[in-house]
Amino acid sequence: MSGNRRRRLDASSLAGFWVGADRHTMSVEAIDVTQRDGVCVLRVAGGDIAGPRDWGEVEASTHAADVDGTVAIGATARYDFGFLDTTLTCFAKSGIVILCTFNYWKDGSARADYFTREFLYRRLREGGRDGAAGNVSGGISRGLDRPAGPTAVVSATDRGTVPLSRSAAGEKRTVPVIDTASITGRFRSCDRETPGFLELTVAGEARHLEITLRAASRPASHFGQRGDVLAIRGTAFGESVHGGPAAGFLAESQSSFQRLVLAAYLNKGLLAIDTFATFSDGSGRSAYRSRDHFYRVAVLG
Amino acid sequence: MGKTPVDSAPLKGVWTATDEATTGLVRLDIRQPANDTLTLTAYAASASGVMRLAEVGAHCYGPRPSGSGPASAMTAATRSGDLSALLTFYLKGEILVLDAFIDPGPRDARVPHYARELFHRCDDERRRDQQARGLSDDRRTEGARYTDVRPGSPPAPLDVSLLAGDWDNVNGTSPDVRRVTVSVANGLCLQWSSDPSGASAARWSPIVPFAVAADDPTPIGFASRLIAAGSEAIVTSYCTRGILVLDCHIRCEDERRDHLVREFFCRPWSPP
Repeated sequence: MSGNRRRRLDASSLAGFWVGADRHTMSVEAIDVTQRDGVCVLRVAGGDIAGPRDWGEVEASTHAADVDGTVAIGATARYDFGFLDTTLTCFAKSGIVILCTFNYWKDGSARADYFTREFLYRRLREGGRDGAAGNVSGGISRGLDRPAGPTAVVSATDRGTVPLSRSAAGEKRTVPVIDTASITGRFRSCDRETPGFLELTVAGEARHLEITLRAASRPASHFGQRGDVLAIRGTAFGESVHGGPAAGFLAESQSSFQRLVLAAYLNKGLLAIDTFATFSDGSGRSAYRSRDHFYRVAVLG
Repeated sequence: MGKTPVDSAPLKGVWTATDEATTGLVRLDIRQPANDTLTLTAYAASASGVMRLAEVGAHCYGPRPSGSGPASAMTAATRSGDLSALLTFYLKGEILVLDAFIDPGPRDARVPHYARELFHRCDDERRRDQQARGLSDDRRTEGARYTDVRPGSPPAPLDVSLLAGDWDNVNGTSPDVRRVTVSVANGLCLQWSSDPSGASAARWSPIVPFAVAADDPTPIGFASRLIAAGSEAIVTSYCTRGILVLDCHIRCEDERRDHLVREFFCRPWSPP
């Protein structure tokens, strides 16, 4: 994901060393956020049994609370580990960062694409710490990546040495299925006054979701002309590498005037969608993040 | 066979506000001095530095009415002068989330209001970082949520008509509350249905409304207490972006465990 070079936002509100509130996490243990020459840089440490793994530095796209905002309240970034693409979406609220990761396998290993959501608080106001001692290697970026699950005991000497793209016998493994029934259907905004999307339809299978969104017929809508319909392809993510019911989806689009990232997750029937919009039309509008909630009004036949 | 007690271990300990500029509670100390006793000592921001509030009893809840899962929620009631507050907590990814329903008291000009505050487990490294930046318990906070007093005439009663009407559970398979109805016409009260058809229980329960902030009378939610055969529930709710979030902290006298039910509701509508 390219950096936000058009209108740089003040990322000092995000800067610092953020640590997971769950100190035993096998997901993201910490994020170091720094602002260098107006660019927001993240350095993530993935949690693992024998200690955190350094994911390295990546440039983030920052997002304000609205199109007139000058202060970053959220960010998106992507790590390409070769075997895995991890998209991060986050926003700050009440002293915490709420972080989602969308993890998309590229190595043919028997692991389902998965989603996480976690909460981090700011331990240190200044970022710029050194990376974690461990590295991303052997098809593992963090404990959750292991097919055996986070409770498996793997010795430090085993870490990063076992290729996961094929079984010991060399045959290709079957990738666990993500059941998209939980996230497919027609959804309507809980907020009838929303300036965002009024309705969306989600159809298709795990890596081939088709998402159709109808923008609100309101002057404040930034998603195109009033009542516009927007079609985006997306990917469903389960709760773990073992597959099962879809927990969320990620969808991205690039139009003539804006780039959209839709990061969605399901919570007790409520579909929460974070929209990260970046404008490329020279209008001077800030990239921004917004949140909408949807309830399902119809299951697709 | 008796029910399994709810293990309060996940709640115990010292918790620190995630927001270092909070006007609310700065720190929480949750202890279990005896097997069946849970206590909360809260430290609140104030105009004269961080202030220790009186220790109060607390009650913990599991995630489900059966099984053996440890505590994931807690309730307590606190007082500071004339101010009283119902504090409802739940754990979310090791963040302790507080939804507070605050009544400033009869001689205070502030309206009864809702506030959300977040806490993480005490972190010495963070505390040292804050102290190095001059942020200590000596800091003075104006307009503190729990310790400030704003003398004046009591505010007008809140108009909760914005919340009135039917709210349907967005989770169509929920075995708990399916529909909530808030009425103003019948006096401020609440009725709900656990029936998939939406048929309501006959009884209405009174609610106490709360505003979005101490100086903003826009209604955001309510609190109520429901008593039914075999259980008693503290019901709290707040509304955000068209969603009514309903929490029922249920204390059971039967074989079920004390537990929290959290559900999301919205008003069905059709776009033009």
